[in-house]
Amino acid sequence: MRKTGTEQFDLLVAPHLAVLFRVAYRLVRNTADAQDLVQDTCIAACENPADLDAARHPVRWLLRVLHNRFIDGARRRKRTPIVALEDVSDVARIASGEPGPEAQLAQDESERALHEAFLQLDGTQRTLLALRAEGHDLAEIEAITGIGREVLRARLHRARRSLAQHLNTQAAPPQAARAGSNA
Amino acid sequence: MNCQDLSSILDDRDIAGLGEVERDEIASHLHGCADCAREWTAQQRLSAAPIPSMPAALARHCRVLVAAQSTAGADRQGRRRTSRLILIGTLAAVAAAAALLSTVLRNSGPARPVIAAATPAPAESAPVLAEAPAVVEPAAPKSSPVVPKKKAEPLAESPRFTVRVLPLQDRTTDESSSRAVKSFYASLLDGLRKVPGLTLVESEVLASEIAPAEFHLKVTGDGPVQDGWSAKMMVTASLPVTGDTQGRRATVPHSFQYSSVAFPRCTGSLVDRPAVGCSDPEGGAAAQIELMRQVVFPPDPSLRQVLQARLQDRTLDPAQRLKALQSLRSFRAVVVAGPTAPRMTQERSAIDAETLRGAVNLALTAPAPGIRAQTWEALRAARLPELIQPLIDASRLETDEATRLEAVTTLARDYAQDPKARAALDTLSRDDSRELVRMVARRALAGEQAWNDYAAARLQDESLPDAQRIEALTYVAASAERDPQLAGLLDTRAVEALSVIVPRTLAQSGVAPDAIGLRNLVGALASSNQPATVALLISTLNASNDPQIRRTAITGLARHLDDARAREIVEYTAAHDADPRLREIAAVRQNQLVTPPPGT
Repeated sequence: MRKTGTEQFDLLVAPHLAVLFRVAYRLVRNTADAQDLVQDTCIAACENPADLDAARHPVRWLLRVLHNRFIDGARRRKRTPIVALEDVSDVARIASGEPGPEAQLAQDESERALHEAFLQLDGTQRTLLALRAEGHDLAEIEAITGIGREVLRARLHRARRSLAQHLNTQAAPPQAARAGSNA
Repeated sequence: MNCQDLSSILDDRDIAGLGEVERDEIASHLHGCADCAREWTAQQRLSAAPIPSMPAALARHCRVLVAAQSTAGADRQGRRRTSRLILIGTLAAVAAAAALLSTVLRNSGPARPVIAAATPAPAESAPVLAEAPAVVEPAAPKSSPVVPKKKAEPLAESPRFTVRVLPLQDRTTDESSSRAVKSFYASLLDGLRKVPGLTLVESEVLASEIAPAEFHLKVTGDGPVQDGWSAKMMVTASLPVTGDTQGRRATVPHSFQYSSVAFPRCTGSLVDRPAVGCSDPEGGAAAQIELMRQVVFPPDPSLRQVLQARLQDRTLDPAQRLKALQSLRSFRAVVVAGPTAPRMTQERSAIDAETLRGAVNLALTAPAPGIRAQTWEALRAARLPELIQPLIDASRLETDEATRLEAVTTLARDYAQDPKARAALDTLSRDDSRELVRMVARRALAGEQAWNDYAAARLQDESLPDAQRIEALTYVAASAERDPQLAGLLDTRAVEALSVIVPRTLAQSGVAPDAIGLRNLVGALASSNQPATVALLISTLNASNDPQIRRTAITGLARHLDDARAREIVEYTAAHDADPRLREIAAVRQNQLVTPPPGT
């Protein structure tokens, strides 16, 4: 007997929500948008019950849906002239009851630099790096994104190089030495 | 190992599982290859970037959405959407007709002070439910009278806009907080429905793009928090980019927070003012709506008229008149085109002749000096020639020093180029009885260098009491332009002197609730990077009982975890401090900055 939407959700989607949220957060870098993306993904997934049922690795299939939703959203945003701001913290600060100085210090500079550099990458580059950061290997990323192995290698490399360049443009981070020496 | 080998490792290997030999080879290669080192670092930093845990309610929200979606197949869904639009369009039309009829009926009867515009729902963009409000009167706080009867003119038409609101994200963990948060949310929605021109659309999902004249609202409730509960509101708006030739828009989030605990400010307002009944969900929701109308929603001429009437009503309590003035001069977010990307800034609403008259009357007649001082402050950046003479008079004749300082500051800041104001400032710079007032006047005439020299000299003068030594710095710290100015003042010697003065001041006299200058000064010191910074922050943390200042100090210390003293006190605070929020901040910061990236 065919499962209902919520049964399918409980069985095949809910166990992977945390993974979806982590990847979504890595892609959009804020909780609210990450939640929206995960919700979109759940709806889109349950609109295709047969595919979801047939998926051998539901989490990979769900990540693929998430990737597609993210890329579609990025394309739509590109068409409409909405632009990213240099800094939105000021308004949050003036309209918020949170203590000013604490809020100013709350975001570590290094994290902010990474955030800004990452958001300069295109949607696919962000997906590839996010999946890699989540520990997926090439075979899994290939399955999720549908990008062939050799092209995938090249794109991953380009994405990493772009991220490094954007980070480097902002200022050389102190972690460089630490990560290098620890390795 | 060559670059290709390293790239393969980055592509496909579990870094944590690498053997010692391989690690040595990698380290050796990275040492000699800057490009690979940069890529390695970039990927490691990305892997190590902190990710918040999944919001508890997300699973429930997703399930509800899926349940709603799965009740209809793809085809039926399309048909339903069409019929829903028709239904909404019909509702809107009915509402508009009802509003029109109501307006006609009202106009045919005795004159009434308020006629609000009908607000039909925009059918083409309402995804789930559109509530077309009936004719309503503009919301006015309970404690304030409406427009005086003698001014019973129809109010200007309110702009029309849509607010899409998500279901409440309830993260409370006890029953009483949950009840309060739900009551707050219900009051918020009820209040929003009564805002003239506003169409409220309750939605399960928000669109990723925001149409002009549309706002998205998410409300999250938390509790218990510090023995109370809190509600966070994120209002997202789409604003035009001023000066952008392509007519682009920017998405701008505004955050509001309402806390049932009256510390530090229970209104979450950008204007520092206490709210009446602030631990009451209904009153709190009304205060938040008023704030949203002032700083986020489109400027409403009808609200402006009500506030102006309140400001001019001399029978009212001066504190209420001041509140009206501050609301009229609230800051709004503005996005302006920049050389590389648009930039966010804030602007105070412009002031007109009617507001000016009411404000000057308040500044000259309010019995409480604090009200007079805040009125002169609220008139800053108005730059109206009519203000020069009242400011000169106040600068000369006002007996309260703090009020005089505010008047002179406004005169110096906005009118220093005017010959008459300049002459008055020249006299003040010689004759005023208070040194700080004289120096503020001189600053406008002689420039920043003279002021900085004065501030530095006062700070180093050990013959003065502490309060006088830091007076110029706290004055700067209380101003809106504090960041660049303080950055220039807080050099090595200054921080060294402050490392003694600030903890001593905090230990001896504590912090007054309105000591914005001192709080901001501690904030600036926490961001400084001078040799004495760590010692200063440790002493401040130990000397102060003020939770906000202690949180600022621990956040600042967490930036110096390479210093053993800072590391020790952050660790200790995370484990033992009596303030749970402080423990949390210390633990999070410690964890973020100390834990090495996984896989390294």
